[in-house]
Amino acid sequence: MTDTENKIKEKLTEKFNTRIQEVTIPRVRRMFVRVDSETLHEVLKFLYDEFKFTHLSTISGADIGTEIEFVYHLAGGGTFLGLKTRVPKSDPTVKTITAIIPGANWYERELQDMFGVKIEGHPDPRRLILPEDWPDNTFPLRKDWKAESMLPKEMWWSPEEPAKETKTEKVEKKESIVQNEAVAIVAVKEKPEIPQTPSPAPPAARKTSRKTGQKANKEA
Amino acid sequence: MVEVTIPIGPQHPALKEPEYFTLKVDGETIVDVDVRLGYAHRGIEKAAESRDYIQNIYLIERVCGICSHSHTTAFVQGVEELMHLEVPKRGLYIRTLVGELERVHSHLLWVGVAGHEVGFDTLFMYAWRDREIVQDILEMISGNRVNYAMNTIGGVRRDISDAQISTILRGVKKLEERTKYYLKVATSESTFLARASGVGYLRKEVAKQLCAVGPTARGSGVDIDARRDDKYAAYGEIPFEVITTDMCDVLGRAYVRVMETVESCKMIKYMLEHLPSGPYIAEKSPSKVPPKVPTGEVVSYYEAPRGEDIHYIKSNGTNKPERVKIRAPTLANFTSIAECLKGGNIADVPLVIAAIDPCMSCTDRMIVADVNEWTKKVVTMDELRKLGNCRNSKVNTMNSKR
Repeated sequence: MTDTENKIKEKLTEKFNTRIQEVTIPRVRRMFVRVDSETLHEVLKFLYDEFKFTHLSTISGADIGTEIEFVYHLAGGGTFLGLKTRVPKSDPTVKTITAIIPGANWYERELQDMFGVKIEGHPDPRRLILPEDWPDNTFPLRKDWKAESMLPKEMWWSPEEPAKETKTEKVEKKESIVQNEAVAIVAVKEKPEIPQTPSPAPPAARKTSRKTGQKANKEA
Repeated sequence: MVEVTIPIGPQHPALKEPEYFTLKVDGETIVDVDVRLGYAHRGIEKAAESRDYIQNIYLIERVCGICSHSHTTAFVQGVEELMHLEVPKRGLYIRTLVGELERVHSHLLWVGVAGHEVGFDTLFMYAWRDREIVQDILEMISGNRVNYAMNTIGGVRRDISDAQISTILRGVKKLEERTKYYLKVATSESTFLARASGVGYLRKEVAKQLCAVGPTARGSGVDIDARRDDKYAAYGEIPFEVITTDMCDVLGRAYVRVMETVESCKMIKYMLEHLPSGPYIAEKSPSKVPPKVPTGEVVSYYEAPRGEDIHYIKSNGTNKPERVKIRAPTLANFTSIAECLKGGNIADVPLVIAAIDPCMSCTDRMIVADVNEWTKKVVTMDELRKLGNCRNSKVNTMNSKR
């Protein structure tokens, strides 16, 4: 069933040996090949010339901890091949492939916006998706970026905020369900400030009510 | 040469989603085009990471208003592959059937828009009237005209009854008759030919290099179609032809879309006649409870009406995906627009942009700015369209030169 894929795997290992880090064939018409970022160009050129992988569907990026992984989704060689490479977050640099596949231009710009990757030698390295006034060094699709970080603190809101003391028990249950880490962090951060600002303004009132609510719960 | 820059957008007639084009022109001829995107970026990929797989079906249904079924199918079949879940044949057929109905509705919508841009408003009204047939069918099947919510992990959410099948067959028969008329228009109507032929020329090699997809690529003779190349859902069992043409212009793209509508009608008939019996959703389908999906990664392709749609899903063993990457076909085709516009007329802009069928809403004017004199003039879309229609003769002479 996976003859084409096996043939490609054979040819690749023959040509590049150990420089091919990993080849997986999950099913017919699908395969993934992982190489390091320096070999990427050579392998891509080889696949382009030898197997006619001329169509690039897109480039996916994924934050995998200390590294960012790219998948170049190639098609045209009788199968759908994902060419993977990883770059460290400390120095996320990868060479442009626009010289081989000009259609990669926008996908590389997208990666630049969303993952903060430096695309070396890109012909047009402007922003594609993010607006001009977007803060530098914030990349939305990295895991450490939270949507809330774009709002001023006083606008942060979460559904689990308790409104009245009497409903404390129900609210506590809700809190355990909600998994929004960012909001949870805010709640923790704001707690120590509460005794210092006994203001009658509505947000502060809510904070105190929450605190008393928690105290009451502890006592119980 | 006096260099004049014309900004189009972000809110603009031929752009249904806000995008910003900057045209450099020499007289009437476009020299260079620059595109700025992102005005409608909603952060769906990021949002998908914080929702579970069931919630994501509903989120991803809303990526696009017209090809909503395309995105959910691509997503759902990816998740099914990760979960090693086999979908019953009837489920696959119904999924494919709705996909093809969606294609008919999207292509008819495009024929109408193209007719309008060409200045052939009768065609626009005919096409949109006939589109109501397929809209009614979709509403009958799913309860909705758009965002059908048919897909779920493991199959589809609604079955099709025998009474519905006979209604669909009646509707499709009517549509087939009407499509013959559109085919006649696209191949022999003199006003349409004069306005569309040679406009927005995209050479085959360039289309390949820029990785164009769908009718834009097939209209330039690039033979790609995920339905045939990847044989997802029920496409491995349904006979159909991939339509390509070497016309390479707006007329070519129109021809491909109309012929695809004919093919889709045939496929719908075939599917209804060969609809397998049995369940339409897998027994193990987690249709309500968000499933825990084993760690893995999957690439899912779907041939949406506008071209190849690709979803890359990475799971981490929980009930929320680690990463969902979506590339809708319009993004792949946008780089080709710049190429199509170069060397053309300002008046061709709406038609050429509409020809890749980007999903869009309309405001009715554009600003012509003369950089040297710092003057601005607002041209309404109607004026521009009139200008375009007067230019037929000039366009044809340009073609012969090319």
